[in-house]
Amino acid sequence: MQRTSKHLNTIRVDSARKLADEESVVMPYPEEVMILVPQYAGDESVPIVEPGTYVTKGQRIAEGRDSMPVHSSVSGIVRDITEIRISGNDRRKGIVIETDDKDKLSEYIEIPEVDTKKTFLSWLKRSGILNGKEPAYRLLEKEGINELYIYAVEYEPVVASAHRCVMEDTQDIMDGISVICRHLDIPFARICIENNRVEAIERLEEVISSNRADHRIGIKEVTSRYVQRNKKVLIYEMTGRTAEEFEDALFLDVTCTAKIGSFFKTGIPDISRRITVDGDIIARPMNVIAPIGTHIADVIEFCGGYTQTPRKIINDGTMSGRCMSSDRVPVMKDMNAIIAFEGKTAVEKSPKRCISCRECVLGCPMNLYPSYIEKAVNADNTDMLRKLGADKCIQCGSCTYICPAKRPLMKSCAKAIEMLMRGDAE
Amino acid sequence: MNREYNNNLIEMRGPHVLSPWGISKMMLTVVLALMPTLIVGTKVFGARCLLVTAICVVLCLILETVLNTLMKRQPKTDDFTCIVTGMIIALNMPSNVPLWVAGIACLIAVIIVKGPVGEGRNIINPACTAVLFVYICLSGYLKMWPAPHIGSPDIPAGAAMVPDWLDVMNGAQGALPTNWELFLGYTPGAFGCVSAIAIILGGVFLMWRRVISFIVPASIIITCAAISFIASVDPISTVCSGGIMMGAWFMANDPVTSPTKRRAMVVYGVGIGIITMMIRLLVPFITEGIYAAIIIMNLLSEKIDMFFIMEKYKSSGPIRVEKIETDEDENEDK
Repeated sequence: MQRTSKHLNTIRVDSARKLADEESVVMPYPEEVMILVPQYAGDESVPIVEPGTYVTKGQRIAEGRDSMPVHSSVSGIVRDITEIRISGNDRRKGIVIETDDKDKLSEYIEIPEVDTKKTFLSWLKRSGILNGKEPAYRLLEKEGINELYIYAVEYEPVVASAHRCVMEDTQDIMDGISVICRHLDIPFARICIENNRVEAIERLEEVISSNRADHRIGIKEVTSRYVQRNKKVLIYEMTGRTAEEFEDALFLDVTCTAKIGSFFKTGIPDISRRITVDGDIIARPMNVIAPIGTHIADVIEFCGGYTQTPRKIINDGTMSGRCMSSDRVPVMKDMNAIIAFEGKTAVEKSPKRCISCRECVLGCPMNLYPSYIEKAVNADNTDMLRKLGADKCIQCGSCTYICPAKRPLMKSCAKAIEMLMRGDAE
Repeated sequence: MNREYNNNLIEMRGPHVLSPWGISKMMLTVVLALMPTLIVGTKVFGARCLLVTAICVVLCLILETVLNTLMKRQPKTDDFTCIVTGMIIALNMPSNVPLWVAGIACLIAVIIVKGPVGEGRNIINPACTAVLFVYICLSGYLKMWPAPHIGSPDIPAGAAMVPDWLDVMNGAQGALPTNWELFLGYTPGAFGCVSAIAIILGGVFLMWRRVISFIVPASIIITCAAISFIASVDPISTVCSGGIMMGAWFMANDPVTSPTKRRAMVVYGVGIGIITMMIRLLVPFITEGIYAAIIIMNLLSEKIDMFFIMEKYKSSGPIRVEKIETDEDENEDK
């Protein structure tokens, strides 16, 4: 295999993670939550409660035949089942629950008793835990796994939730690793973390040595660069090999592992989320642990409210975050951050003409040529796109970030992938 | 629940915070990098250099703005790329150039070469074409160069006209400047091209700011030095004389007209070096070959680039990855 350089290309993003040292604050219950059904793409759950029902914390309120159930994160009365548009064409149903102050835990919650892999997986399915954007049990169902990698690398600039999870839920992470390794028969687990997060590495080493687990846990350090979350990039950075040679390895997110650890200890399903709230127009940016279903407006109010009218609210970081359609959108299971922008910084700058400065080429981790891909897309030349390898694009946004002419390269690469798939289908 | 929600939100995709680097900042960095050679040139040749530079820059700005307004293009000044064009044209002129000659050069660069296609789409370097035109068609004004105000004792100071290194090598009568004078800039010649040290300083500054890559200048200079060594001409004098330094550092790696792939840049640089030395050594009536060499290689640069890109993707790419799942569709790659 021909490897051009030891490290992949990267860009220098202004990753000011000023919230990395702030402790997460647990938010008090809001007056109303709206729990979305489905919680992740590909879920086929439907609500199983009617308006007027009293639900308790941790009770199932939506189920599907082959999907994970959705649980209520608060106790209260179901007021309504409405529809809400999240972003773009993504419309989902929302179960609106008016909270009461009782915070009653559901009586259906029980501490899991697991003896075989099959019961482990069925408990995991009932927990509702996601790994990124897909259900955790589907990943763990794969046969023939004999390596476990937990990636604790940070998602994106500005987001600090993975770091806070490592610093605060460290025991849960260890419990999660040991429960997974025990039931899937994995001898060795590795935690991948960036080498400049010294406090997190020290904390992990401290807890590993004090834990005396029967499964060996190692820490693997990787250099800090922008595109880390993508699995293929992470594998190449860690080991220098391609993703195909790692068919028998399992990659899990650190937040998911912590939730698995806490679920198998207490039985409480996935009902809260750690979110970094940031932006120039938020009065007090902080890391918040909010119940799933809290409206974004309530989370921001807890953080001091807006100092100016927001014009754009995104979730998940400034590079590849999705824009929310309004701040009535509730916290979902795959949300990591909320960032709000005001008018001047929110709009797109008008793009200038490409000057072939090579910055996009130097920044692409997949060694592609975004400037040529854009030219081929504008000329509608599918042949050229295939020759340029446009289907390898991982949509990281590095090219668009660095372009001096502010051209929308990520959009044209997405269009290129679409054109290629349409061309293949014909 | 009576609650006011913010519903009027913008929806867009892609990075929401872009890097603060932009084309205007890039151009201002280039202008800063051209300052050392302008300062040295003014010191050696007198204040008229500043006048010529100012006239060229202002003229280019006016022409560019007028053209863009007439053709209804945005932005009107094209992010100050015309300032760089004006400065480079001026720096390649002798200090006693008549202002109308400089004016014609600016006209050619802005209106004829860059005008019809707009910024970012010109195939040949506008400043280079303008300078070449002046050198060939108006060469009557450039046969003899003004003497430097600071120079070796052999060359009389003052406004006398003397031949430069290239002219003397081609048979004109005059004193040959030493290598040290060529390097520092105390020789006759175009006031922006004489001082190799000032240009190198500017070029290193640009490399540090990541505006240019060292591949093109290095390959041009090494090729020229190697060929001149083979032809028994002193390599240092060759490289520090005429416009090779200015061409290598500032004109050949104009991003619009040079290739984007590293190997293609090496071929491009080597090609420029070969053609420059061929023109210098073999063509009798043209003394400076770098301008024609840059233009010829500009015409070929896209082809060279495409050749190397296609060659790379024909073999397996650097990382063999499966296609990512963007939709429900999931195709197997290769």
